Amino acid sequence: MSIEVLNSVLTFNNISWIAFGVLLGYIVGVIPGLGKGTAVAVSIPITFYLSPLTGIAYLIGIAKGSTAGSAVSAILLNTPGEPSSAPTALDGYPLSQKGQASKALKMGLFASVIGDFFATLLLIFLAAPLAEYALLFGPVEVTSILLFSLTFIAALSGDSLIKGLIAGLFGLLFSTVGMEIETATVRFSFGILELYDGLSLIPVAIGMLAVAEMLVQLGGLETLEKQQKMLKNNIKSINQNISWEEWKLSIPAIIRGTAVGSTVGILPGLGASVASFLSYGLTKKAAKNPSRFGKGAIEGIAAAESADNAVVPSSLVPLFALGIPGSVIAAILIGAFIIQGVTPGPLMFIQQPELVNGIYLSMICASLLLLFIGYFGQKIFSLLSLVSLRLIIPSVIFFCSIGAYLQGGGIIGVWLILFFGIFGYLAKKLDFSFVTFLIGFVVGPQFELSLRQAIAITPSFDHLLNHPIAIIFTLITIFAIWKIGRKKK
Amino acid sequence: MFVVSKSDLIASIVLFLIGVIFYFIIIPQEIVLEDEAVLGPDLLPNICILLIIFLSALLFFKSISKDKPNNKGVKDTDIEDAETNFASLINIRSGFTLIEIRRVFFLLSTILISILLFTYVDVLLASIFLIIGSCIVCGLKKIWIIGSLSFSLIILAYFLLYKVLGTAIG
Repeated sequence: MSIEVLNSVLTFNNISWIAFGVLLGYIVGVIPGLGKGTAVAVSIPITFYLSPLTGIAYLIGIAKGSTAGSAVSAILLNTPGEPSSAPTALDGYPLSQKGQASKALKMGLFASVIGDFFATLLLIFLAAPLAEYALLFGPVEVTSILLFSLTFIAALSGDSLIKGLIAGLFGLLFSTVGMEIETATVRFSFGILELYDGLSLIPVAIGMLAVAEMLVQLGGLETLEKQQKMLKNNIKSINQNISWEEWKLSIPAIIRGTAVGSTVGILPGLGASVASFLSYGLTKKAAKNPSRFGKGAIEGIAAAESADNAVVPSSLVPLFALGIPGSVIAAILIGAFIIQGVTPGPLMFIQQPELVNGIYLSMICASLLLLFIGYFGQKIFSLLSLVSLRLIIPSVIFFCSIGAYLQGGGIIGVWLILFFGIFGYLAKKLDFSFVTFLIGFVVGPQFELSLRQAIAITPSFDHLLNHPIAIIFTLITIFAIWKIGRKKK
Repeated sequence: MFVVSKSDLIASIVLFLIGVIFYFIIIPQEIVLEDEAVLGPDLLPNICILLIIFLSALLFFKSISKDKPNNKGVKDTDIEDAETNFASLINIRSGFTLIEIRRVFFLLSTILISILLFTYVDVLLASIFLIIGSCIVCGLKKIWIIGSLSFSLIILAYFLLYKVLGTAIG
């Protein structure tokens, strides 16, 4: 890492924005119903006014902070800030009821930071060699890999393979709006001039993630308020430290959680929820006395939180190395990269190595800031989980509209968040994976281009034999659909 | 024939119809082909729509069954207001309730009206309407809370847009 990179990262401006991102993420994570997707999507327009490094580091800071913060409401309210913190609530909430909330929160934070830090190191060591290999891929290989990623995500991110595939296809379909680059034909513009350039990712992501989530939360206002009332009486817990005995129980769980989270994060579509549940289950299985789990076992929190946080950095491996988003955060980050004129993927390592190294160093800074902010802000964050959604929903809707206006090409952006808000709300309610939709939408243009090129250069099936990687990925796709489709009947 | 999942059944029919409308009406109308190219601009849209039609048909057949489904755990009477046709139309697994549908409708209407206010009247009025409207939809009743939230959000937006980012709206 060169001195220039250190100089660009360790500036007051850059560190302040990362710290602000982590803080904002933490606050958003603490408040149930506001996920990292919402926070990152709404914050993207701000990055337009920042340098590429600062903007991307700020967004990653939000994602990291939010993932760690979601443990707070899981432990205190038994309501996870995000679904991936649900296993944290299994042991965190009983500990909180025993008056040991402070201890549970500390373990949640330490496990989060350790998981996040080591997964960031994994990203640093894995992405560059993978990217070198990815540069050898042609259009046929790219098409087959994108097809594999989409079907894999569709199969794993919901209850139904069919619904996942439909969602992904809608994502691809919406990505075709606007001018087709080869023939310059305008598609699905309905006479609206603003649609000639296609649909901007920002209003689509804000609508699908933030607005849709707020609409979903409207139905559960009363339930959450009941839990918040219960917490008010329970929040005055004394400051407790984690004993050496508890650390001895938790360290293996953190190592296991980090390994599980890193592996699951690299695979597209599995997501943080799978990682945290898997890690929790494995730790429970490995325990000498599994009956303690669910009643306040501190290593349960360590297992779930380390895995949950390890997913964020490792899910960036396919994005950096192949240019393929494996998670919602990665999909939204593509929007931020594009705003900054950067195309994520293997070429980034050759064309902008300083930026890549700067992002890596910023991510490590974010991990350290996460520890600092989480530790010293614990009490304030605990109180934040009492903020009513009745105040949050109007604020989020207001800032969503501003963000969509700024980055969606004017008032058309606000129309788009309205449309995609309804679309996303129905998708969430009817269990059509919005993750697959967004990833389909993001990879759509690249998929169309590589599909057309692949068809052009492989006029017959004989030519396909020259592309063994593509054949392998196609076979894996067929096998995955068959295998997962049978399981999800 | 028994319905396994009412929501999937309705979704599959709606998606099938959307697919057919897209294939026969919207795609031919919205993608004008200049010449008979093998790889025309309608290639990917057509592939997507044909697959959506196929998969929605598949979803339809998966949502019905010859045998009576085991409804263990799925309560048919949990809907807050059984008289609401829309809510009862959709499977309770999806968790649509009358109060939620009402709130969603009013929030979306608030956004819609504020867009129209923005376009035809004024940005400030649109912003105030959006915040106050969504506060009321969320059940906030105290005027001082609504007032101070609106004021602080607008001041925050002004500070962020005009002072920090150096941009403007309107």
